[in-house]
Amino acid sequence: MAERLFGLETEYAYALLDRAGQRIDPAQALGWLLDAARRLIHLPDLNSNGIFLANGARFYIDCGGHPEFAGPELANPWDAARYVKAGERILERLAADLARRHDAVAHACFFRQNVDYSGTGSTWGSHESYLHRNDPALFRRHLIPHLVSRLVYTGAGGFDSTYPGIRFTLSPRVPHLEADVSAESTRCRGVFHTKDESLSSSGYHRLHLLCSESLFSELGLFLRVGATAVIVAMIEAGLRPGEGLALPSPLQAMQVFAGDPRCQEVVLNARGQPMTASAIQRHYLLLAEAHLQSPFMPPWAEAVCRQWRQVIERLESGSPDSVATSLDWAIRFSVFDKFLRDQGYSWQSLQKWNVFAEEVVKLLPGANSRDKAPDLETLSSEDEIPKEMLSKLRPQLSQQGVSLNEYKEFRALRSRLFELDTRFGQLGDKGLFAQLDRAGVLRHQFPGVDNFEHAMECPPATGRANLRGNCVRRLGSANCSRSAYACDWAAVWDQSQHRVLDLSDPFARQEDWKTVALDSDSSLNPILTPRHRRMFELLTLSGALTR
Amino acid sequence: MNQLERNNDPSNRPPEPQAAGTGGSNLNDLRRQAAALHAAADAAIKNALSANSKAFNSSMRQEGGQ
Repeated sequence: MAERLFGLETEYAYALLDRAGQRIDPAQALGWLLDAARRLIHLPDLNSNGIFLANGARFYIDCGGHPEFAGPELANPWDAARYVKAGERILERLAADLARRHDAVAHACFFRQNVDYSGTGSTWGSHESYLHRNDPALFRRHLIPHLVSRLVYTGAGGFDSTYPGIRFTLSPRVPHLEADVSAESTRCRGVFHTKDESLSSSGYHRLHLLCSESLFSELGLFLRVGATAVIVAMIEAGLRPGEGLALPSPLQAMQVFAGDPRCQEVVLNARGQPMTASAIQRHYLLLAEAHLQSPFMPPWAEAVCRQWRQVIERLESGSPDSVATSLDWAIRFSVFDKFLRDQGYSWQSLQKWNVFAEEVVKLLPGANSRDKAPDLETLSSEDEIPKEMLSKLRPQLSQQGVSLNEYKEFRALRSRLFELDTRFGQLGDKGLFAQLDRAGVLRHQFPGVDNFEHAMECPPATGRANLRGNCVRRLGSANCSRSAYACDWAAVWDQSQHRVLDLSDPFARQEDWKTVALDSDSSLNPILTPRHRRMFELLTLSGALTR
Repeated sequence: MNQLERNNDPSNRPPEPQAAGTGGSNLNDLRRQAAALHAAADAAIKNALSANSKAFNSSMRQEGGQ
């Protein structure tokens, strides 16, 4: 049985609120957050203002100014879910620390949120990395149908934040994807991301996926990583799991699947055959099941396939009700559906308002800009609407048989649903998911995804993450001179003893420090900088590092 | 299982549920689960939703990530 390594990154939205409920300046808040994080056992990150933690993870402030946890390299899907939960709890601990230390902070709120509903068009990702040793070009063709269709169990659920009406989607990142394939990550994102930065020694590649979302469901997390890693293993072994599944327009297919909570919509493959998302998933599953005994399969493949099959069967037997307490998107859908009905609406009745909202967008200036989505919600009377605009709106109102006040109510409903979606992802006691979980009404839990306290403090049992985490545990406490050290994914640097722990082998099992032979007149600065790192690397290449 | 010695050995894993997430797939079970979910959601929403959602959404405005 072959070992595999993978990892998950989670980008969090955040807001520190003062006693008056006002948001504290984001730059100030991030500074306090980093200060709080540096009170944890850690080693400094060589490449950023972030830190590496005792569990082998990296915590830092990413582009766009949001906190991010990049989890340690993991060898099984139980740990994938477990370390995501551990990162979440570390953040909750930091939130409590911030509120305790800063009088100005009444609430430190962090959100496992996927899209911003204020009109910025922003989105937060949960990226996946899978280590492999094959030609990266092979993955595009054979993985894309999987990425397109797996959203029936990996989707977080939410609303299309780019749409002027109310449109539920299984996967709120999908409206933010603009290409089938792309190397970009902050704009023009693709279903398949071509980045290949291995962060390892030569021969290894890192498949980096960014089309997915942050999940709470342990079952969803387990299956998302488990099924994808099994497919990566099959591709690496020379199988062609995407054969016969090629889609003429993957992005379009993804949009179709994301819009259908019943999971019954079909798309045509390149041969013109209609396929549901479940059918595509079943194709991959059957191939995986047929190769369960193959030496390239990871030891947990059978457990993954068992859950994979059960989830597909449940989706086919009556989605969304059949998964309404176990998968993120379906839990959200069920809760929002009930809320809508309580407010006197239904998904069906929203259609009339959506049509009108689309018309309004066409009538108003800046209608094509996400940043300028028109909003009549706050208007108290028609008098506040410019006459020219009103003269355009009136025929539409009349045609739809609705009043401006009713439209305002619809817009208010939209805002409430958007807040609910954000609250669903809020960490801590107030979060909707957390409250439902505490009430015992969800069935997403997965045996083996447990002992989060341990995962907050300790690295996984295998691979270089274990060595890195144990170094941080040993060297990164406040009473150690941790400023003499620096860390990145592939090494730990010890400035005081002029040595480096090479972790470029992702499967490294032994802590093997190498001493750096430095000239006596070296201009080495006590604080490691990227310049010094380059020097260390040059020394390594020139053979100056000795055992 | 000794959590300090976790590894990849599947024999160390606790038994998986037969149908993680459903606890039974018949219609009555699903209805009962949905009713419990909705009752809990009512209480949770009252606890979570602010008085001014539009203001809340605006206050959460931020740049996002990748």
